[in-house]
Amino acid sequence: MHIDKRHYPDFVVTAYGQPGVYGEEDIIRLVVEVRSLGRDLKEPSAMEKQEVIDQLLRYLYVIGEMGLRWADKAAGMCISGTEAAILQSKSNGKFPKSTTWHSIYSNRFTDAIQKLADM
Amino acid sequence: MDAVQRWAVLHLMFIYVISLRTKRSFDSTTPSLAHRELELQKTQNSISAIWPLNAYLSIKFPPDAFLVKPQALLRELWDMRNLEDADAVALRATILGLADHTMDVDDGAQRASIDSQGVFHSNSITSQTVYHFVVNL
Repeated sequence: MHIDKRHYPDFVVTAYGQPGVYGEEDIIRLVVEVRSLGRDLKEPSAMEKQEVIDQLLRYLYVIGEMGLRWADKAAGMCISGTEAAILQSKSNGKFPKSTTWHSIYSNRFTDAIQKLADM
Repeated sequence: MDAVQRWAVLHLMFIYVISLRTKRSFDSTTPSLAHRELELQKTQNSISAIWPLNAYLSIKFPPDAFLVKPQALLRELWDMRNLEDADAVALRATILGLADHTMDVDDGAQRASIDSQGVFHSNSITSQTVYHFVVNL
């Protein structure tokens, strides 16, 4: 892990890209951020969940600044324990203000991942 | 006595000797090795979620079309400060008229290179090495 870990998401999923100005550029399809549960495995508060969402939004913003943003299909995923929140940009490039967390064992989650992979 | 037993006995002797040397016996005031080990297992940081998540994403996003990049591979792509440093080195090389901008100019701390894949390498990787855990005896 990095010392300044707030600079990087935990995972990105990239699609192989076209040759660009700076060489081969992979297109980032999904940004994944994993929240640490902490020593006592306590249920995170709403503010702690919002913090990790904000962190993910910053990463999605950086993708936009670097010109690698996937137009109106930028997607991000937060994982906190067995819960996941999937952020997907709307057609105007903005993200929804409220997010819902789903269990990673639910069909909602697996269907959303499958939909992202099929796009 | 087979090899496993011999190893276990030697291991226990080693721990006992260390505990005598450091004058920290297994009493209630100092956490024992077993206690520490339990604490380590209870510590649920994001590292423990990374390997199963990597496997899951690699199945859902198959490698014929996608590539799952964990954080370690993103160091040079996302670190804006490193990119700024690389530009500064190239800029300085241009101003000074150096043929090779990886040449030492001052203390060599800013020495950098970009390999054939366009990946930025800095010589500060060793300073970024972080241990997953350290056992204190």
